[in-house]
Amino acid sequence: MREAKTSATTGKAIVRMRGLSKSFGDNVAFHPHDLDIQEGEFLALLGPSGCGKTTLLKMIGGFLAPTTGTIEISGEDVTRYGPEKRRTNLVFQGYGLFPHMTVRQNVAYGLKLAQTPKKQMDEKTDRMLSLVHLDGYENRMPQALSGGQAQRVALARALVMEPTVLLMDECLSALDLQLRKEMQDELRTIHAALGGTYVFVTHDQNEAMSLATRIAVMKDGNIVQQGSAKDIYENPASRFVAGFVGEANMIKGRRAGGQIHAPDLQCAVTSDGVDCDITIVIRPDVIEFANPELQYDFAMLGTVQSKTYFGSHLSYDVDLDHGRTIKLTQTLSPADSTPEVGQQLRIGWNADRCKILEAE
Amino acid sequence: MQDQKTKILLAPAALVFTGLFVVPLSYFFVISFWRIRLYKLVQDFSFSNYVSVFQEYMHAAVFTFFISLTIAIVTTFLAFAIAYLVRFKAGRFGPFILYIAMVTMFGGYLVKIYAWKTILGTNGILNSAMLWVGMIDEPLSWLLYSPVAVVLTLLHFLLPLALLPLVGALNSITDDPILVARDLGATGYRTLVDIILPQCQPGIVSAFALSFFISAGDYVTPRLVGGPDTFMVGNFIESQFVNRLNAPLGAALAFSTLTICLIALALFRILLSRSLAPK
Repeated sequence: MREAKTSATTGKAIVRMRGLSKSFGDNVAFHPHDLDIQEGEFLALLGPSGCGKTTLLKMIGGFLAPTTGTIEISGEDVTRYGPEKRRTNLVFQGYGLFPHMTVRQNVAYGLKLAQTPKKQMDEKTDRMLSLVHLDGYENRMPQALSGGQAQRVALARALVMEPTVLLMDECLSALDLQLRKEMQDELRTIHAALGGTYVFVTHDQNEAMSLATRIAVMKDGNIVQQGSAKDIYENPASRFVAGFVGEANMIKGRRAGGQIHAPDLQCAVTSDGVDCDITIVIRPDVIEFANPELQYDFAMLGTVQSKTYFGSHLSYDVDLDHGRTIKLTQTLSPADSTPEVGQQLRIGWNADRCKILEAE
Repeated sequence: MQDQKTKILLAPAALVFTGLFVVPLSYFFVISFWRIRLYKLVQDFSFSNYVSVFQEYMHAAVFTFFISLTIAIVTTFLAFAIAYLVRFKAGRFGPFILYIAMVTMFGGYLVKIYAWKTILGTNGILNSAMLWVGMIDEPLSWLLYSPVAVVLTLLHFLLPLALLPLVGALNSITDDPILVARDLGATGYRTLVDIILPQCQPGIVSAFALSFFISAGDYVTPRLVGGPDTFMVGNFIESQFVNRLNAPLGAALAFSTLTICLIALALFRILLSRSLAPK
């Protein structure tokens, strides 16, 4: 998992949303929220389909008028402005290339509309095409491009406008894994090179973690948690976030009198806090095959049920004796012994590496 | 094996095409170089029919050309406006509008002609209404039996036909490029000219060609509502075949008209694609 880059933000909110919401009839697509986007930030709106992330993006871009609330961009109230009047540009999920224009005409179209002088327009277009590695493809028609190339044209066409905020709607989701990774690297490079504020929508937690300086996790029209990838991964605020961002083992239990009791746990652990139902969230990489010489806060006996090889690490499903399955991953180093399927062994983890969620 | 099968499967279509299109057209093309002597067809190879077309019917050809061009342009323009409404503005009423337009086709061609006679006639609805309102003191006689009546009648007949290729063309345009254009700062007009129109060129050409060719070949409308001064080429072709029994001259007239129409269509296509080409 890539560590979120420390953001080059200046701490100045370039987009300021207040009480923003959107309803379609009785259906609330996005509940009222205040949200600021800092200048220079790379913000991911992460959530499952139907969570309202695209609705929010389209409101920022001016494609949807909010039901309530206001949006300010660079200090100007743009709530009632359409996309043509906002200095935002959106890269669509389907790219939306102009099929009757060449790559160059596609990229230059916005500049032409802005009546940029010819020389300047050509320079900017050339620079942008080479930035996205499309030199030599200027005169191709969109239907003669691969998915990755089409994606780059769409990106270049938006970037050439030097938008105050660049918006991207699941724009990598149509690419295969290899290409998606490449494009993620490139997006990061471009963001570092050009600066600017980027907001992108994704349902892919890996993509959000690898690109974003801040992630806003969304569910049912709400932003349920915001923070860096590390914050969210290590301190999920809810079972939903824990399950959606990264893999997690979740064990239900109850805290009473400073003691945790969980039917699935073979041990009792102390925990401070009020008496309530709790969920223990344990990331698979936190759990180890117990080293007999070490003490663990949580330790239990299990049987290896399956073992999957991922190159850099192994992933195991370990059955606890009463049927509960725990996922754990083991980073490989040559010295490690790797347990086999069917082997019985102890697993363990420490309390400071897991997260205890109080009942929701 | 596969080739054999494909050929067999294509045979009926090829047969129909040959029997109904290729053979008759070739036949009339050949006899357009023949002559009539004593009411009988005589084999020949002479351009005399084409010479008489040029000498005697040029005025009709020019008139037909301009009236058909007017009808085709107006029809295509209006059909595009309706198709645009159906595709972009009418929302869920779009299919309903289209349905209504299609239903009028069931009315038939002659019914529409008679409908316009009752609307435009001296005692027709339009004149009566204008008299009643006091816009005019006596009925306008030039409404019916004039080129205007021909244009209106054919426009009414052709509009649903021209609508179909345009709705098809507009429906095949996806929303994303249109939204992108707006996002890049395009006004509604620029989006129409730069993004929408270039993508529905084939539909525009089809709509134009349909209305242009049908108008240019029509002879019933001009006869019934066109009046004594509105003789179109179709009327002359018909009379060569039916009254004068001079099929060679009729054929020559038909092929001359067809050639002019095809040239006009080619020019229209070129002009359209030039003016809509992205710069």
